Amino acid sequence: MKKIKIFLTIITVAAMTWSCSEEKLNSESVFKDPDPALRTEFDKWLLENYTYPYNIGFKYKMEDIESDMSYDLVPATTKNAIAMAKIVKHLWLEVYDEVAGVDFTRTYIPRVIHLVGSGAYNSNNTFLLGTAEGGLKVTLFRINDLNINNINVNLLSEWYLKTMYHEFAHILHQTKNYPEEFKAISNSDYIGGSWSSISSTLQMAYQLGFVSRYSRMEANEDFVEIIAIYIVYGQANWDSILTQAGTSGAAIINQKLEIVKSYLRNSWGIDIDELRRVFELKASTLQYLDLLNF
Amino acid sequence: MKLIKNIIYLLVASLFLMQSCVKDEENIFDDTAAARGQKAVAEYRELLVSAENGWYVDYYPELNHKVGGYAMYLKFAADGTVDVSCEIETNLPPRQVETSQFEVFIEQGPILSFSTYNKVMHYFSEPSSTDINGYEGDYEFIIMKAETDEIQIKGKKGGNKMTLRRNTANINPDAHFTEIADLAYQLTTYGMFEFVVNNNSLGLAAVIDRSFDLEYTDNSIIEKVSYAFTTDGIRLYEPFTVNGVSMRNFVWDDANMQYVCSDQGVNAILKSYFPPDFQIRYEEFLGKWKLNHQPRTSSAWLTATMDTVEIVELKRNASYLVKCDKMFSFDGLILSFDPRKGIVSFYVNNVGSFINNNETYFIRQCAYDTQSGYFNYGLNGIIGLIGIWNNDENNERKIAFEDNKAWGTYSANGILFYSFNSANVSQSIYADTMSGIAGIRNLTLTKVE
Repeated sequence: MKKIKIFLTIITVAAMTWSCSEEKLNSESVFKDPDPALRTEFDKWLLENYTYPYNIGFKYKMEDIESDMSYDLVPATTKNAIAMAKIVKHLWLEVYDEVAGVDFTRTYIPRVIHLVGSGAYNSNNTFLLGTAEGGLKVTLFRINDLNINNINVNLLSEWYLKTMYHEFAHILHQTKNYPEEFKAISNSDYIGGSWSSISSTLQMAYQLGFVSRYSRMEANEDFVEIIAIYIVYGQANWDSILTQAGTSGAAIINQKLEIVKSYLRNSWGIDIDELRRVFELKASTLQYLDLLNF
Repeated sequence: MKLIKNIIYLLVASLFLMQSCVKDEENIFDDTAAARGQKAVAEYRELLVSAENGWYVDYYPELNHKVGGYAMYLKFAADGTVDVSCEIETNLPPRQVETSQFEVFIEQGPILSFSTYNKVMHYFSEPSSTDINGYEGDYEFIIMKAETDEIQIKGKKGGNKMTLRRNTANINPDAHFTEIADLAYQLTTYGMFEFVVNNNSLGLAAVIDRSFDLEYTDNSIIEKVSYAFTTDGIRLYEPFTVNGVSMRNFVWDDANMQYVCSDQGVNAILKSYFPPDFQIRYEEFLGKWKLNHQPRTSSAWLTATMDTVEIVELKRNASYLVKCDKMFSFDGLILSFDPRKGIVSFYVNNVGSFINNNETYFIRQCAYDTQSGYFNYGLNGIIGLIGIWNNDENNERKIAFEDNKAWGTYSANGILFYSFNSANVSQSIYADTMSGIAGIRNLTLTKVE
């Protein structure tokens, strides 16, 4: 009896499937590329350098729909967008290309990079540096504040690159988990949203074995902050953090760094020191990059 | 039994499903939605670009268009660029042209977007850490209605409606904006108008930025009517209807100091109005004055003295700079003008800045109770010293400054200079680096003929 029931169900379902077979899909996509005739030199460069090799949409034109409507924002200047497109490629994509191979970059890099000219200012005197949504899109703010005639890698790191390395590290650990033992190390010192309260100082964070105040948010943030700060701020800065952390703080930071290193090596075949070396090498050649012309 | 029941249910259900596809759905349009969208985009672009002399628009920033509109010029080119210039100073001087990119695309409807940064257009949208919303002007617009010579658009975020008017007469934007700016400048000294429709006086309209706060005589409701300047008068944000009369365009009649509605068959005027207690017009304060005052250092009062100062425009019809550059290392004091009463006051204001150890400090003129030693540094334009006019007795125009009685038990009878290292963090009394002066009292201005 049960068999008959199942049989009848199958027939019914089949009838449903057949019933609309006449409708044909239109071969034309509803998503259209902008008219190729309207492409600027920059648009063509982006196709050649972002879209074709990496399958990344580099959105330098403001689309309010792509951003958080609760902020008042303005678009990026074309001039600064060009410079930023070159910098991001040079100091982010190509660093991973060189250390982990272009296929790696292609596979895991966020699909959309969106530029916004102004900062996204909050009423509590803070502003957003960048956002990343679900590993798909990275939004970078304050592009118009960048003085492209006087590029400073430290400023770039602080405003943009740290954010990008941070967000990309999230994608990596969301794809392959890091060892649980990492979470246990500072388990009692994660304080969630209170990380930004005045009483949670940077000094305190260091001494508890964190590399930034934000690291105290939770273990995932702690994990990616180590990666980002280790890569973009260099050894001197790292040593200074260890000194300020004191003996016990430094021991914890070193213990975490060891887990980070072996995770990147074992799960991804990436040597973080190599990543940093390539980053620094490329940063030192940034001055030779033509940020204005193609 | 149960089985049969089940079978029947399933069969009946499947019949319904199959029936849904018996009839063919007919397409209302010949083309797919995507294709129609693309076609519309191409048509809107073509229309925008087709105006070889560009378009004029009264651009209204701010929510509810509350500060009024500014004349803007837009010229779209086939390569996707747009030239923008404006009658007022933006991030560029007035009338200067900046080129950026525009786009037309379909979202819920057709959208015109100014999608890369333009120093003129985005001046009205730009946020900052001190003003996180900026002027809240839109740069993405829904195209509401498009005709050959007129395109109606609506700000996507703010919702202000604007109209692009084709420059059919090929009016040069530079000359056009100069004319508008000159008229706007001339007219800003009129702070209040009497609103007369069909020869009936309906109430008074106070000017705030480029809008009227219209207060009817027969009730206390205040209506806000915003406008933009034209070459010969003003154009309201949208037609304004009162007692069944709809009006939008007004021409300035200089001889009678009034706006006259130029719309067909409409009898409406806005007649410049000075209240009976109105004292002195904005322009009359401009020029050279003698400033009598008693200065103090950070430790003691000095003897009273007199300096010649020049009062210059800071913000038309709103404030002045009392240039005391011979007295101080900063430019001078800020004097505020009340356009409704023709009275001046010294309120709390930042008057200068200096840098110390890489940090910027602001010098602020504060309200000062010279008896108790208390001072007030709130930048709210409430507590301060009010100028009392001598009614030109003995053919001499004198303004003596005294407490405006807005400070409770304290008395604002002097000005103290204080330095701040950020907007509201107090630092210390500022003794001017040049003169050593830290405050002044017993201020009197006497006009120099």
